[in-house]
Amino acid sequence: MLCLGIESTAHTFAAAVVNEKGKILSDVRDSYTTKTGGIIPTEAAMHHKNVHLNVIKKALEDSKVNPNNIKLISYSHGPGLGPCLQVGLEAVKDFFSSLKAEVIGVNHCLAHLTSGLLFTKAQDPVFIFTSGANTQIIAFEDRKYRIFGETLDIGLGNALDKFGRVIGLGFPSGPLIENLAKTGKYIPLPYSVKGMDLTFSGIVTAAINLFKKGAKKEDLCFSIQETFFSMLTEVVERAMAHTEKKEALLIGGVAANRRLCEMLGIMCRERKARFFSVPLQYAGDNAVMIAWEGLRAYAAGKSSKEQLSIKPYERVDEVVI
Amino acid sequence: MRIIKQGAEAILYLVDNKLVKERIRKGYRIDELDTRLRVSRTKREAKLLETATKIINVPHILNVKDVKIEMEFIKGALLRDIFSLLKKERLKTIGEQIALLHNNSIIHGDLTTSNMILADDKIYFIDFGLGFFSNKIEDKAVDLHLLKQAIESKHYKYVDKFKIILVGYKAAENYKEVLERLEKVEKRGRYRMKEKEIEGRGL
Repeated sequence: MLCLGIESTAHTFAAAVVNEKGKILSDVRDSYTTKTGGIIPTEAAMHHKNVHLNVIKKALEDSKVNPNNIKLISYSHGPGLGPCLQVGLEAVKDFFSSLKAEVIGVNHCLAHLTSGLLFTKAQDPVFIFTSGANTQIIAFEDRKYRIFGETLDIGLGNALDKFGRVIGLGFPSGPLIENLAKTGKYIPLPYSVKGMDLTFSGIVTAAINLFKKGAKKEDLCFSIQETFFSMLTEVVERAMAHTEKKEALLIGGVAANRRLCEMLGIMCRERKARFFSVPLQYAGDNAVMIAWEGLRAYAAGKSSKEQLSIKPYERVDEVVI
Repeated sequence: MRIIKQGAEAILYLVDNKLVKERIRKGYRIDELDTRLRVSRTKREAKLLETATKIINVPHILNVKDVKIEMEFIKGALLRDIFSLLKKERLKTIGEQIALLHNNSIIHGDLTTSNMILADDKIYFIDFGLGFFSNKIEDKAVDLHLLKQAIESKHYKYVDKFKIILVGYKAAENYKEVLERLEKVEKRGRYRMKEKEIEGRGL
């Protein structure tokens, strides 16, 4: 079975064709970026509107399959930005009548998780899902993905962006912060772990205040990374101890950060567990994972007859697998 | 020296029938941060235990040094292993004890069923490693939220038992406010809370 996946939850509009064995036949993306930082939902949606036709057409062309053979279209119905999700949904409505395919809406976070299992050899890991908007520690128990810990305020990526914006970096700031951190020295910042949950805002504020008082950018980048990643690694370790799982799998855009991977890797090694990270090209938002989750859900008997809709606030633990 | 438990954060071992909790070095953390966290957490935990000793059942502290706390060894069953067997009265007692801690401005910080022991027909609270002093409604609500989360994730078949624990929690001074706040805390999983901000530039 061939599935066309469509992703539009945040800054990326993407389309991909994948078969039921997980073979990727095409993978096309176009991302909204800004130089000054931040993401404005309506502008991102406008970007998606402008590029969506070309992205989908290219995904179909690249796949070299006869469009009539595509029997399933899967799209991200949430969580994400309403205006952006809407563009994805409209695109689906336009295409599925011409393709005569069935349509299935999937949870974006869940797609990150299930595609993580496709891309790596992890079997039953504690998932670390951390992107711009999300930071969650998730594991599968009793037919459901359950959230063991999460940010109580903003996602780790957004926290980095917030700080990056103040010190004059573009969006996304993560890679630039990682680069500046290389020559930085440690300055103490607050450290905020509550059980298995995290908060980032207060630390961003503290770092911004130090910056205004003249602290070096490099030192603050180094310290904010060390603090955030130590917090995250600590709660992941706690979740692994709690669930007695022997694997950790890093997914989401922040997986691109080498220091975070290094820390999680050391933590796993010290407790004789295995650490996995999705290949970089699939760490961030993409449509391959949406197509794959669509195929998985379809095979699991999920109906595509539900009304097509968007669910901007749907949490991964609300989805029955 | 007999190792009792190798936890995520600390190693627990017995010396002359006394329990030593030693916070271990974490290779993933830079030394400055690692030392800072281990020493400050040890100090804080000792302070919390000393205060809690006067209120509820916790292990007595015998000695504190750098990253080590020496304390009384409690022999018993972890609640996580017997949670399904707990009777109503026992669950209420758990709620009452949490209320007593909160009434004395102690936030446990890691209320899970792995951090409670049933021994001599009494519930002992252990591991105040993430605890802190606070009288804020928010902190008390988050403390309860953590327990609820731990029960939901680990003992998902027994979620109703949390409700019984809350009955015991009625002993708390700010019971109503804390419970109201608890509802808010639960609603603000990432996307639920940010509903308003999505309109603006928050994301």
